[in-house]
Amino acid sequence: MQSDRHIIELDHVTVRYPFHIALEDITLHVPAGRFLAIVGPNGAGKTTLLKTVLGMVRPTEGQVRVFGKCPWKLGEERRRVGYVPQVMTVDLTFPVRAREVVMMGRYGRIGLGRRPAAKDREAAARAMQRVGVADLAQEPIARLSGGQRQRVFVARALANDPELLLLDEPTTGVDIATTESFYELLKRLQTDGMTILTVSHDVGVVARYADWVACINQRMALHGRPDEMKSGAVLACMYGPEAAYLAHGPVPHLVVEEHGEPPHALSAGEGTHD
Amino acid sequence: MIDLLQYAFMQRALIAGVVIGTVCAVVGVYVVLKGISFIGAGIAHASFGGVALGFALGINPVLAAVVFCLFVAWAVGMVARRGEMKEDTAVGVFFAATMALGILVIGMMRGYQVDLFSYLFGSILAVTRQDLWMSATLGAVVLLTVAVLYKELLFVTFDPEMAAVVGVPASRVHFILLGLIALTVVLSMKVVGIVLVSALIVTPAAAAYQLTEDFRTMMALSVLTGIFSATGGLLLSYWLNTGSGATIVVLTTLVFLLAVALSPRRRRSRARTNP
Repeated sequence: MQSDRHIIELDHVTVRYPFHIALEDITLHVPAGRFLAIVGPNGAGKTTLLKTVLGMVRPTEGQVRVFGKCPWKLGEERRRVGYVPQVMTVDLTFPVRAREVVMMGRYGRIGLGRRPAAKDREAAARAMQRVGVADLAQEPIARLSGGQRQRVFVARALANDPELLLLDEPTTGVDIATTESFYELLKRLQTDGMTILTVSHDVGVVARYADWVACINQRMALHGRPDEMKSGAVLACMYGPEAAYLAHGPVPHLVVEEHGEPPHALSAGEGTHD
Repeated sequence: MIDLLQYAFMQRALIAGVVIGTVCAVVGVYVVLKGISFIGAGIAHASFGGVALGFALGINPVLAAVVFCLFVAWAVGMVARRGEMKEDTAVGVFFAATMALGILVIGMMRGYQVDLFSYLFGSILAVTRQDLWMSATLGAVVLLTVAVLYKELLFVTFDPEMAAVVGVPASRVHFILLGLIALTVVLSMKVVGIVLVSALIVTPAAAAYQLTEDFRTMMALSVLTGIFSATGGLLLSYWLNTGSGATIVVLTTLVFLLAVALSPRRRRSRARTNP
């Protein structure tokens, strides 16, 4: 095992829930410094894969190692992993300010019954600066645009100075321009030495930034460099022959949008109000 | 007014009102933001089972209710976690079951006429010196816990999954919150009544939520609303000769309606839907 070079190691991982199989026989090794995108349709097990790496879901079969250890036994090393969950899992009208959200990233480290100290405030401020939201510190999250909010959630993950960043559908409901600048931010973090694993259904966009793409649909369909992923055959394998046909059009990344909204709804609303 | 304050029972009731208004409002903020007001109502109704068992077994009914409510609150949490059942469903089951248990127990104690009406709907006259001490002690336990676990409760209410990821004991904090709800219900029971207590937990926090986007401000506004409603409701109930619990709940509901009318949130959401 080259656990010092591979930050994430999944070997023949299967996750079975009572009524369905989420992941089957996934083998995936992620070296340090890689920007890996996991793509696949809804229900393909992408989120389960992230949760397996986080130790929130335990595999039914197979082995998971993160920093060479069992992810649910990471202990202090948990800090080396930053996580940006799907934005839809939180109440966006919650009365809390951006800086408080970022500080939450350090709550585990601060410990029970203690208040954030100066070094925690500095780390939070640094994290906000790093993603370009320092001027939004006092804003309630309800007033942030989709793109700003996503950066605040990234800052929360960065507040612990992690070495590995896991993101679950980070650009859902965000317009195209904001999506692009968001992935540029991730690219910058990678240049600073961060290992990045992002989950997306947006093959077209993510393929331009990630240096490795893994297609999953319960099983590992294919993984490799992004240019290999653009072939219609791969899309067909993931989304069926219809998607492969549409993928030959000028805007392939809209084809795999599958949240039930028409493509034009993506650029409306979010991101530009106020 | 001055005359009124010379009555020992009124002094006790008003002090109890301040304690209850504060504690309900503080716990209510978490209940409202987490969207678990049905759990509050469920635990409140469970206290009826506890009170009835207390009478039947000859134990202090309030003490019996403390034990019983904590048991039910945690049972709901456990069943929800283990059985892959929604907490809402678990509450729905326990809510009716514990109420039914209470009624069965009382039915079996033939000839024993307890003043259950005051437990169900609250009464100012029911607040004894001993009740006041009990409310103050339980209230201190609740407020102290909130103070110590302030950031953990905030995080677990906002984003429990992420809290667990960064190493906050999210599940334990959630169980502590359920316990705090149980204690709050019991300490308010005698003044506000089992049937009405969940309103005093939910409504002040719901009113505060309408007026602010800052967590601490929400907490402060909720507490102000809670104290105003509880003490104001007690005074009104004396003058109007109405039930204390109902008067408190009507007053807090009026504050809530006013807050909704003035709410910047409401204006903003209207602006969003009709551009």
